[in-house]
Amino acid sequence: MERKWIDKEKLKEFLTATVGKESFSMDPVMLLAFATDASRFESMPDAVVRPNSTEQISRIVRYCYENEIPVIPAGARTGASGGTIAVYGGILLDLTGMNNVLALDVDNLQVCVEPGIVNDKLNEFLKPHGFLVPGPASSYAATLGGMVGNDSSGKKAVSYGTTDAYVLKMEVVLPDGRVTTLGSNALKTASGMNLVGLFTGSEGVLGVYTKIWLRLIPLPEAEGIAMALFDELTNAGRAVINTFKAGIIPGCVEILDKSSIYAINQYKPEMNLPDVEAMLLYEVEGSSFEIEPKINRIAEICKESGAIEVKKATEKAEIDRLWEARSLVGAASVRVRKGYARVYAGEDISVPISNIPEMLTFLRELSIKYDFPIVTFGHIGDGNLHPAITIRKEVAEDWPKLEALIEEINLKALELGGTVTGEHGIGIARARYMKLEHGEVALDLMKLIKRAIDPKNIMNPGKMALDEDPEVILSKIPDRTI
Amino acid sequence: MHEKIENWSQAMLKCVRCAKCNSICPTLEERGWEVIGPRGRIKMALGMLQGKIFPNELMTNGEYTCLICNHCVEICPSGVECTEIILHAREEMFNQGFAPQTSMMLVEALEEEHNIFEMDQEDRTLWSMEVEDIVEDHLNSDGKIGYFVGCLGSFMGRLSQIPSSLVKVMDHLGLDFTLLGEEEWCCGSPYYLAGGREMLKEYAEHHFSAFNNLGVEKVVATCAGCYRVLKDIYTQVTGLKPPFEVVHANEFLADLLDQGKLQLNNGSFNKVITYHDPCELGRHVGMYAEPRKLIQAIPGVTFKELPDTKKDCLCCGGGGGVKGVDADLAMARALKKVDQAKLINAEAIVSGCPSCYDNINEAIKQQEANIRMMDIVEIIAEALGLE
Repeated sequence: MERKWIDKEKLKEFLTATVGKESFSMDPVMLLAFATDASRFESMPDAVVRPNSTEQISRIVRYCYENEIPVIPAGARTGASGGTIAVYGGILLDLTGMNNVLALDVDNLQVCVEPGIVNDKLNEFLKPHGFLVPGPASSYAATLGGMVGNDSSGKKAVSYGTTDAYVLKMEVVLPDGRVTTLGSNALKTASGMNLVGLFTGSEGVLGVYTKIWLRLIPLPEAEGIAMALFDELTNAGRAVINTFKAGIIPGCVEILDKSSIYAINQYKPEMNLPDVEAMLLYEVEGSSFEIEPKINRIAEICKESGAIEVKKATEKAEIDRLWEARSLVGAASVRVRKGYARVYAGEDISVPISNIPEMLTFLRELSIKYDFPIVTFGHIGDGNLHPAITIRKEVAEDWPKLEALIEEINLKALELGGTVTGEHGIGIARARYMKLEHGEVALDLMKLIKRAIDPKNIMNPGKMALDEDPEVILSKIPDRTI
Repeated sequence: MHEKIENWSQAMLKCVRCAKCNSICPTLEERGWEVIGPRGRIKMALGMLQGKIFPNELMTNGEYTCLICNHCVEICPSGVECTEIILHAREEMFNQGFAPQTSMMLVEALEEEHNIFEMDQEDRTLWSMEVEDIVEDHLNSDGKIGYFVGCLGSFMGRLSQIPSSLVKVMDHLGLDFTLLGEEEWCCGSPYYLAGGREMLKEYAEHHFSAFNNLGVEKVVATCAGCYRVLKDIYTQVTGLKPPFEVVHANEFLADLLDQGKLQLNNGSFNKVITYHDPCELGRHVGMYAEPRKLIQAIPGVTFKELPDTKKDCLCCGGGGGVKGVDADLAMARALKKVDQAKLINAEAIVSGCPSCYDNINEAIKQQEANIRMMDIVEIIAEALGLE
C-alpha cells in the first residue's frame, strides 16, 4: 500500500461544508503536530478534523469510504505503539473536543460519555457520586475513546480488569458511515455475538466510537498498603503467587526491581531506599473493617515467602509516603545516565507471574549486553512489566541496537508464555509479533473480520499486521522520532 | 543553525510526548488544538529546526499564545524545559520575521521611547501625583534601596496605586530609597517575550549602571515580570550579573516584617482574602511563603487558598505577551480565576504583579463579582492606614 493521492481542494470544500473552516486544518504545521504520539513513529495525515457530533463523523467517514481515504480516530495520542499514526496519510479525527458526559444513571450503575473525555476528568465528575472508572497511569490525559480502543488498563487491572470489563455499550460509526449501537444497558447480556468485546481493543481499525456507556465502579471506602523488600527475586514472585493462592485479590501489586531502586535513589537520594533485589507494593481496597486484616495477612504471606522487611500503612499520609517510590520511578528512569532519553519500545511485556523473576533477570543481562540503562517496574499482579529503556536518540548507532534489544525482550516474553503487550496495544510498534504470538490461523481470522467490516481498509490502516507486512510499513515511515 | 539544532534537540530529546504537559496547559484547555499546547509547541519548534516545516501564521499563533506560565515545566516527568524551548522558538521566528504584529508594536515602542506605551519618558512619574512630595525627595537621590516601578505601574493610571502604595510604605518606615524617574526604562521583557532577546544587553547595562551610580545595594520591584528580568533573565541572556540584590515587594516587605520594622498589628482588615500566585513569582521562582506570611500578619484577615494554588495555581492569562496576541484567550483564563475566588467566597484577591492585577480586575468587572483586586503593597499600605 502506498499513500494515496487525495484531491485536496475537493476535501477542503467538503470539510468546510461539513464541520466549518474553524474545525479542520490542512496546514503542514498542524499536520506535523499530529504526526506523532508517544511512540517513535512519525507520519503526517492529510487533514486534521475536530468534529463535534456523531453526524459529522458519519458524514466524514462516508466521504472517506467513497473516496478511499484513510480515517484515523485519535484521542490524546498518549499511546506508545503508534496506534494513531497516519501511516498512509488520510484524515485524523481529533476527538478530544467531544468530551462531554452525556448521561449519568447511578441507579443502573452506568455513565454515557463522548469518546474525547479524559479519564481523570470523568472521575472528577463521578467522585461526588461515589464512583469511578478505572484507568491507566496516563489517566491525566488518556481519553475514554483511546482507552476503549486499546483496551487500556493500569495497576488496578488486578482487581478491576481491563477497560473491556466495564464497557457496556457503544455507538459506533462504521467504515461506510453507518451508525450503529452495540451492546446493552443491561449489566449483563447473553444476546448475540459480543460485538462490544470485538470493538474494544480493536485500535480504531473497525470504526469510530462516538458514545460509550461504562459500568461504574464504587469508590473504595478505605485503602491500605503493604511494602515488602526481598533479597531474592524469586521470593518476590513467590509472595505474589502465595497471596493469590490465599484467596486475596489485592487492588494492585507493583514491583520495583534493583534497577528501579537504583534509579530512584540516584534521582532523589533522600528516599534512601535499601539496596535490595525487589520491592513489592500491595494496595488493598474495600470497606474499612476488612483492610487491616487483609494487609496483615499479606504481610504474613510476604514474610513466609522470604521478605526481609515488611511495612504496613492504613493512614493516608503513610500510604502516600510508601507509594512515593513507585510514583517517582518514571521520572527517575529517564535520569539514570546523562544524555540518555527514554524511548517507548519493548516497554509493555506481560508474562505469567511465576516467570517474572526470570524475565527481570534477563532484562538486567540485556542492559549490560547492550549498554543501555533499563529501569524495570510494573504490575506484577498481572505479570505486566515496563522496562524503561533509555538511549542516545541523536546517536545513529543506538537505534539498530535498540531494535535488536527490543526483539530479544519481546521474544523472551513470548517464550515464557507471555505477550508482547499487556496494556499498550500493538499498533505499528509490535505488529511484527502478531503472527508469532497468535499463529497464522488466528491472525487470518482477525484479517477476515477486518475485511468483513472494513472492505476498503480505510479505518486506521497499517496497524496490527492486518493489511500490509509490518516490516514493509516499518521501512516506509520514520521510526526515530525525537 | 546547525549548532542551534544540536543544543535545542538535546533539550527536546527528553520529551517522550506523554502529554502530561497538555493535561494542565491553560491555553490548550481553552483552544483545544494541539498546536496551542506545550507538546505541539515543542513539536513545531523541533520541526522548524529540522526543516520539516517553515514558520507561518499558525505556528506564530501556537508559539506566541504560550503564557510562559511554566506549569508544563513543573509537571513534566522527564524534566523537559518546555518554556525555554518555546522562547527559543520565538527567537528563531523573531529573527525570521514571524513575531506577531502586536509583539512587534511593543518592540518598536521600546525602540522609540524605552517604554511599552511609547509615551514620553518625561511622563514616567505621572503616576506619583498622590505622593508627589515624597517622590520628588527621592528621585535620583543617593539611596541604598532602588525602586523599579515598571511600565505598567508608571503609565497605566488605573494601576498607579501600586507604586504609590509602596512609596507610602517605604516613606512611613523611613527607608533610604531612590527612584530612577525618566532614567528608568522598560525592563526589556517585551523583547524577551517576542524573541528579540539580544536587545536585552543594552537594557541590562543601562539599569545596572543607573542604579549603581546612585549607590543602590538592593532593587525592589512591584512587577513580577520586571523582577524576574532584573534578577535572572538579564544574566541568563547576557551573562551580566546585577551589581545589587534584586527583590520583589513580597520578599522585601516580608523581610521587614521579620525584622520587626513593619508592624501590622495596629490596623485591621476584616475580609476573606486569597492570594493569586503570579507565574513569574510562583512556578518560576518558588516565592510562595512570603506573600502568605504578609497577608496572614494583617489583623482581622481570614486567609483562604484558591482551589488551585502555589505550584498548581491557574495562570490568570496575563502573561507571556498573550493579551496582545489573543485577548479573548487571556480573558478566558482570568474569568476562571474569578470563578475559583467565588468558590471560596473571597472578598479580595491579592497578587504581586500589575499584569495579573489588571487582567483579573477586568474579569471581576465583566462578571460584576463582589470581589476586590489588590496588590500586595496596596493591602499592606491599607493595613498601615496609609490610604
